[in-house]
Amino acid sequence: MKIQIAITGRGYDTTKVPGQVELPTGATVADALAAALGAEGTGQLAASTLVIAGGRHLGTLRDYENAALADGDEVMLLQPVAGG
Amino acid sequence: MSQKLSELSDAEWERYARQIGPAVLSREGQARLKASAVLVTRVGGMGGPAAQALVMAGVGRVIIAHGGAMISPDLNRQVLGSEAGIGRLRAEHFAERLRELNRFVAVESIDHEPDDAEADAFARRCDLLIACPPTFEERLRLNRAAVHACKPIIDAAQWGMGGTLIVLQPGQTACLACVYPEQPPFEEFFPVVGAISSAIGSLAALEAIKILAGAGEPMLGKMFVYDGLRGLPSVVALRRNPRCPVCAGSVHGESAASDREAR
Ligand SMILES: [Zn+2]
Repeated sequence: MKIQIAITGRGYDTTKVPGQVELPTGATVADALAAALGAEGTGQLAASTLVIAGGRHLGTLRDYENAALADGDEVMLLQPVAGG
Repeated sequence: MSQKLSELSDAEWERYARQIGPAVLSREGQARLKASAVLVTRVGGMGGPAAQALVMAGVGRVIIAHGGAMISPDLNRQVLGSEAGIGRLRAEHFAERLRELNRFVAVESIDHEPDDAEADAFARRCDLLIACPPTFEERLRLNRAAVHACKPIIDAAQWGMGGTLIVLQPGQTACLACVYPEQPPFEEFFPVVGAISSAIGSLAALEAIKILAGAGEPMLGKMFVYDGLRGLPSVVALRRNPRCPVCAGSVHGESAASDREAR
């Protein structure tokens, strides 16, 4: 199945991810992140980064619900922003 | 919000004529706005446009908090600033600018970010809080105050050409600590284009107006994400953390009545 990958929020310009990954049926958010982030994995992002899949907030990289994905879902990593 | 709705003068009804009617506010909603008080902390890139929209819409009391004096780089996004204001205390200057916009509302200013006790006191006094500070420490402090007082809080944030808007009602939805259980990294000199600041700040005000006036469907429990670099909007449903150290166990409405008496 095809899963869309997006990275946004703080530093959105510095971490490169493929726009889409191809995964077997039954794959989870962790599988999608492993496929998208390559050898460096999630370690290159802050533990506070939000994990979102299919429009649902699942927690942060430190602790998130490793939900099963459906074909066409989008997994989004959002590095929290503040600004002022 | 006081129990008895404020009466508006003929001049006030004339001022707000364009925002009363189908698809906008009811007359009762407008009266509710007049009876409302909102705290906006940091009235820079996002809080400035938010405060401006609240004042123009007729929110009866807008309280702004912002420390320090204006510097030139503020003027790429801080719409309440001005060339003549460089070097002046921001809170005082911004309050003057806001008062010029609407003689029918009260604008209060404080020249620093509220500490824990002040945040709690403002949350009891106000009907809604809008958080626009640059640090998560301050945002999470306002969130705690909102949860203690059971008042809605809107978190507006920006980075680069993007931003996020979070609309929360303690007791009903997640709180900000459910979303940010640990403080994300702080970056003092973050990049930002003023256009996104104004957009996010204005949307924060729109959500506030809807909540206060009882209009439309506020984005309660949701985060609006705008990736401006790519022009992509998203809406995310936020989950409540049942073990959240700030909001676990809070039930909407439990402290609202006592807060009214305290005002
Ligand atoms: Zn919480």
